[in-house]
Amino acid sequence: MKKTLLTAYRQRALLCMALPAIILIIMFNYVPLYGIIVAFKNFDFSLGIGGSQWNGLENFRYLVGMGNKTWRILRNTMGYWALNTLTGMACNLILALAINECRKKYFTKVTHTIMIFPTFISFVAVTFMVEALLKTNGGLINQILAMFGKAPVSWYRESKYWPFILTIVNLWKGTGYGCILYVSALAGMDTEIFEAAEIDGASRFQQIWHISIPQLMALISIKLIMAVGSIMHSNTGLYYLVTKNQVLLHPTVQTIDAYVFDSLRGTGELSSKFGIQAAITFFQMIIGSTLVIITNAIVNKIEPANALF
Amino acid sequence: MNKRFGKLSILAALSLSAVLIATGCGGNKENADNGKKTAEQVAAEFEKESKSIRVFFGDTKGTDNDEVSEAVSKLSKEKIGVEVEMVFFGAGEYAQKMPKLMATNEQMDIGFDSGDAFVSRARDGAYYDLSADLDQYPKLRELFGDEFLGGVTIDGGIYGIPTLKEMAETWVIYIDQETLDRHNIKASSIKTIADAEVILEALKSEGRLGFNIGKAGEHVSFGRNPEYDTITGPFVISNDDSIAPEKKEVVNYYETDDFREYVELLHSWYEKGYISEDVLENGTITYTNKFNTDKSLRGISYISYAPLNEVLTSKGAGKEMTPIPLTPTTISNVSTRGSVYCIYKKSNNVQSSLRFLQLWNTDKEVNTLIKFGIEGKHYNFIEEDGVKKVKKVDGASSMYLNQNWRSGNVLISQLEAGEPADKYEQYKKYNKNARTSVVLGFTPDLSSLDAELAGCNAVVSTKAAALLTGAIDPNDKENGVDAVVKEMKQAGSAKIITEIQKQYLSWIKNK
Repeated sequence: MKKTLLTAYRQRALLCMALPAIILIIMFNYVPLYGIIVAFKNFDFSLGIGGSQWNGLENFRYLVGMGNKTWRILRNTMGYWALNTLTGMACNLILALAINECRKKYFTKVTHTIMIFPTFISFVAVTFMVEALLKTNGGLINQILAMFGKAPVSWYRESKYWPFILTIVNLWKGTGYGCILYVSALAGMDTEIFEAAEIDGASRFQQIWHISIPQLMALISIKLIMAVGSIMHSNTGLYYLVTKNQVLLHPTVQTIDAYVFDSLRGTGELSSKFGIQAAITFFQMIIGSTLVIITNAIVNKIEPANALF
Repeated sequence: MNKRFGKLSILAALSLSAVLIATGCGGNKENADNGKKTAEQVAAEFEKESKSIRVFFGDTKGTDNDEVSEAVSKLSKEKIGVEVEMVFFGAGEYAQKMPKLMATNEQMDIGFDSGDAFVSRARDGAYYDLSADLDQYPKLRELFGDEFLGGVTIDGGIYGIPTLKEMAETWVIYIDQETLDRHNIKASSIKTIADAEVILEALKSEGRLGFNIGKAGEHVSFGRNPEYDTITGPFVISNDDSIAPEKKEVVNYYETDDFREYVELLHSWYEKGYISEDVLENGTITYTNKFNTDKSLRGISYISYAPLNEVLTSKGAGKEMTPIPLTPTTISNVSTRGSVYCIYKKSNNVQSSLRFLQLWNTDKEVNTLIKFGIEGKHYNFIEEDGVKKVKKVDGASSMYLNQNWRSGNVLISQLEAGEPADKYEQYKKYNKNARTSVVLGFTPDLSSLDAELAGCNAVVSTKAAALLTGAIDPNDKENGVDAVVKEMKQAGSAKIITEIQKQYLSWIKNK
């Protein structure tokens, strides 16, 4: 104890530097967690969170209300998570390596900046862009199909195409931004190792495979562990807006968040039921954090140095 | 979504302090022995209040709203000694923001609400029960008959002041008279929605759009079912007055044959080209198609009617529009709680708020100011047939907008240019001649069935809404009527029906 305090005193400057961040995290990430108890209460506006009656797991019954769609919705949510995480990570990595291999710094910076743009386009705008491509009448893709004498496709009525469409949209939107971390990690690597490898006759590809990727492994595994936490989450913008919430697409695109939005939205009876909304968040949070702990344990077994904690 | 929840939890944490404040000040709100307050009690409460209230409106904020708010405040201070701040949010924003604001300790005194959300929030303790206070505001109380207050009375408490307007609801289709004349169609010959096919045929032959429908999921209204009275959501009861009330059965509209017939009709119209091809994706009138830019090409819509609505509709269309009624005119919960102003339970200005509501609903000067804005800037008075009327200036709606149906007592509002002098006589006649729904004043308590309601709601806002565009074959296995019925049943509609039926029977017995 005494030793700890002594160390703390010696490093007081560093601690002071970290203090604002620590306070912020406690204030905005931990204190509000108190509100999650509303998931177990029958929320009453006049009594507030503390005063409202406990109602056990009543709010969680909502999840049962999905009926036989439960499996489909869970499959879509986790399926898209897996698809987006894997393709996203692969593309981020490949793009980062490609950017790193470019020797013309000016070119690299310009292309990278352009690739970051889509991240800042709102999903509402993306919805219209996707629609301009996919509209049945006059959509760009159907016009191209017509040029080759093919029949137009009613994209918004054919659910089978959407896993591909959504993956592409997600990559287009996220890759440029997602690879920044890898680019900076690559930029920070010791160039001597690469020079030594070059002298030994290693090709560019061999350098990537044997030097760059192994060095990035720690970063990759940390990003993976963190991504697991959001396995039950999905982006409402992507799965609700971009698909225009078309009922014919639901078999392959409806995720938990989109379903929740469908059943609680509007001005109906359920629009201010905080208990139900909190119950769903709580459910997503529990699944997410459990999986983070499990994944971390697995990584710990394989390569302790790459684990998050 | 996640972000919303994140913010929600912060707000939730903040609301703890709101509770502490609210409970701390709640002590002096106790009722007298007979449950009603005396004039002295009300006056004493008013004296203790800050006499500065905030009123929330669900209309888009224009450029001059603050100016109008100041003018209202000044007038109200003069007349009743209460200062007012008017807060505006656009309709969509309002629905999103209000529940969260209500859970914080932000000062809120009066706010707009309507329909099922109003009921649910009243039950969840968001609104103040006015029944102990209302008798001390006789001018306000006298405006409303028991029918009108029936819609806002929930479990015996009065949770808001409805907007006095047409009390009954009729669903009509609008079509321009010229077209009817051109094709020799008599409006009086059209009695049901199926009869409207002759109009659609005529419209199609002119290259015009047939039946206007919103995008799937945007708008599902049950008022247009000529056979039923709505209880809540899709749960309805027959409006055949020849059946004794205690014999009536609660049903889920989507599980009835009438729903099947209606969507089969819509689908046949879709196949015949009376409904636009991409209605499922875009609705009939979209930002891209020609019907949006050239209004003369538009077809017919199925909409809710108020007396003399055709005057303003014709003015907007630039030609004579004829309404064709397709449902009985009915006073129902839906029509009486379509526009309600509630006092929040957390408000520390209940008496000030009631004073203001009374002023707003009985004083023509205040009413006109809130409804139309400032004279000379947003509107001018003109003389028409010897009657003083309001004429809005061009572009007034972008400066200040407060829609007629939710800006206080319609029956004392100034007539607009073009409206007949006997408008309000006609309103009264319309209200008097309407039939009263058998379930007026019946509000089932379904708080133990939230999960089932949510499950049903998800089907309503997706599959059922898609069927109501006509684009989907009602016999389709995956998305047709059978699928809707099956999914509703799986979500627990039978449980809800049983519960409503049970409560209905005990309610009708004690009525």
